[in-house]
Amino acid sequence: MNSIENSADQIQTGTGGNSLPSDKVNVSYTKTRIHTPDQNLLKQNRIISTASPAKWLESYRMLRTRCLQYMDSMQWKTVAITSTSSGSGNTLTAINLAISMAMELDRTALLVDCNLRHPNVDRVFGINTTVGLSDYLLNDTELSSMLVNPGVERLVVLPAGKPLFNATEMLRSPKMVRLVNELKSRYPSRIIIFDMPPILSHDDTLGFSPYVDCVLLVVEEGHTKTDELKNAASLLKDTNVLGAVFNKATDNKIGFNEAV
Amino acid sequence: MENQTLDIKDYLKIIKRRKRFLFFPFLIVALISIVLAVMLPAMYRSTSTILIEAQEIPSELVHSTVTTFADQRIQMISQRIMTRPNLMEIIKKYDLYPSDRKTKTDEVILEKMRKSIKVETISADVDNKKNKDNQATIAFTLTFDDRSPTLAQKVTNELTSLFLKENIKSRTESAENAALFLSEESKRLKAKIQEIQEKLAVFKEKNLNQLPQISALNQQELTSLSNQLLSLDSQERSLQDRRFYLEGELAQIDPNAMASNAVGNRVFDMKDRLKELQSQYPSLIASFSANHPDVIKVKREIESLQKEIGSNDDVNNLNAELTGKKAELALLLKQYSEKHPDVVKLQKQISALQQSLINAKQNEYSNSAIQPDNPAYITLKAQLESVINEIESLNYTRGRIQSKMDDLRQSLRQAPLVEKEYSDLIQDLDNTNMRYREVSAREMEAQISQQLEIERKGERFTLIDPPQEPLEPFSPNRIAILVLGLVLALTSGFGVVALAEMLDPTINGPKTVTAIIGVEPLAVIPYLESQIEYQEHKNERKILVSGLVIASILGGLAFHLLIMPLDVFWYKLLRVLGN
Repeated sequence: MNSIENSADQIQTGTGGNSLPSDKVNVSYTKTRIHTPDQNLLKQNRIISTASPAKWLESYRMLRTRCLQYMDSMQWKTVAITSTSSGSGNTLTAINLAISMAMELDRTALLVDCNLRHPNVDRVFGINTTVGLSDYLLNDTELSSMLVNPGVERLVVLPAGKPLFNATEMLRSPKMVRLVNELKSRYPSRIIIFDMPPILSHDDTLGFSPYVDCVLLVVEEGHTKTDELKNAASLLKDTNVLGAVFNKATDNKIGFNEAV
Repeated sequence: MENQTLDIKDYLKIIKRRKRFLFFPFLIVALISIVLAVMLPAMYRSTSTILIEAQEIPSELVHSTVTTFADQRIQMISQRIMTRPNLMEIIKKYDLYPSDRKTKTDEVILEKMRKSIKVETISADVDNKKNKDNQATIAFTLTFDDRSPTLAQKVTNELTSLFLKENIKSRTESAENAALFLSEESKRLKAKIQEIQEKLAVFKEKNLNQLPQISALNQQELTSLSNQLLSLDSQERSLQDRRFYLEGELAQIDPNAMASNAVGNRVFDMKDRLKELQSQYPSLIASFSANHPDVIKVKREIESLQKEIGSNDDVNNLNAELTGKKAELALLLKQYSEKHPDVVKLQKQISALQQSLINAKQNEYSNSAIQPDNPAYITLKAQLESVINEIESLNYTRGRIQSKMDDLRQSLRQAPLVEKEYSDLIQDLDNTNMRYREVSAREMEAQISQQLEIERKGERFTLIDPPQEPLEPFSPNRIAILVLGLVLALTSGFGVVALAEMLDPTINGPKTVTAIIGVEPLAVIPYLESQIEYQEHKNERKILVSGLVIASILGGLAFHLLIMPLDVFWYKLLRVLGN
């Protein structure tokens, strides 16, 4: 993780001047800050790209397709991604799912980092930003100024901003509800992905779950306990659960050499 | 893990995931077993085989009184041998367990020794006539284990000789005891028989006539006696007849025969003479004067005769006088009172008369005892008397017979009571006699059997294979320990894996997720190893390998220095494997 600092510097230099040609579908790109990420950093952080190992990419494509099929059939647009405990690859799944969704030519994806306590999305992408969702909630900062395009077409990221300690209350605030509704309704073919903190350690996810269409649970092999999963399932029994992702499966582990 | 069926892939995955849990227990246990297999001290076993020989004389001829099964006897003897004094003596004699004796109590050492001694029987199928397809013990082995082969042999030798001695001793004792017991029993029975016999004799004596054997005899006697009685009756009747006849005859014959003197005149007896003279006397008086010599002569003769024979007339006269006086008294009493002097006088006269009459009657027989002299009369009289005598004797005999019959009847009536008691006694005697006979027969047998044991002709133990000094250790079975240790190592490895898997609460497969939330995961994202992790794994492996190498070198060195040189160990290991 040493390279994050370095890449952050690079991003700083790369920011501003680079403007991508405007997209027909996504009008807001004109307003959005475009961030060109360091490919090495992305690779290190296991962010999918066309250069990723086939197995790795395919598994996310499979996840994306299944999610989209189901969500389309239910006309769901927002999905919260959570896990039972931290370290399950919750954020990575959210990012990679968002990227893979953005890969679909007729869709745009918005990734909202709702983990207001330990925001992570910006670090993974190497985005150096100080403003985010918390600023919007606290200070009514202009939303468009905070959105970042992380170098992937049709994908916009809303960073979390400064860590908040009353995260649950903020997430349940009318402002947040309004925001969700606005984001949902602004672009018809956009899928909004919320990266949530673990469901069992914080009540953020549980409190926020009524405002999203569905929840996706990330289960980590060898780490998530059966009791935790049962517990989470029972907590989410009144919520639409899109399904579970079995993460870090060692069955067909992709070695470092393979990945190169 | 949740309840779900696992296939082979899952198992392989589990093993792969937990290879450390498999590896380390396996390594530890395997090492321990290898070290044990090589290091365990060798135990040497010396064995002696003792044959149980059947008795030489067929058991049909001589029964042994030692009837316990060989098995049982072997057990008994081994218990006797393994007593504290015996074993302690052996331990001291051969200086067994020198190191243990310094630190441990006698009990512990004795227990250890007892465990080292083994007595095992060798059985064979025997077709016995009595009980078919029986297992009979034909021999047994006596073993002793020790770390020193020489000591093992010596102690086995000692134990074997103890065994043989003890067997002889116990057999002889047993036979002796049997003989002794039987002889005492027979003595007791003999005394009892004597006692019963004495009792019986006393009883017989007491109830001689009521005894059952006499009873028939009594019956017979009773019958014959009653017959006798009948015949006596008829005899008596005839005798009586005869008596009556004789009496009749006798009455017709004058007792005094018409005896005649030499002149031919009939000789009168004195009574007839008196009668004649008395009848002549009045006529003489009439013809002569009172002083006439004839008259006087007759008178004197009458007087003398009267004196001689006593006067029958006295009585008659007295009677007549008495009658006359009584008539006179009756006449007087009509006229006078009783106190009239005449009446009183008369009464006195009457009583005097009566007195004199009584006196006269007494005199009469002697006075009138005139010896009959008619021979016919005498003969008849004698016959009559003999008949009367006979009748008397018959009566006497009858009385005797009757009393005897009464006695017999009494005896017969009491016989059943006596018989019961008698038969009880007899039965008792019989029983005791029978038992006495049995016991004495057995006593004889026991004595023979005792002789059998004394002469060592009974069943006996023969040492057919004396203990040898063992050349090869008997235990430990190093190969077995090695193999078992490896198997144990493998199982413990897998056991630890299974335990870890069972105790592990984490989810290890998409199947578990399906089982919990009810739907399959939308996608399975494989683990992507990052460069850092790759490096870390690499380093880990390096560290592990080098650590293992260093540990094995250190362990080997420690083993070499502290326990035994490695070359020796290697040699031993090769020997173990080569065995």
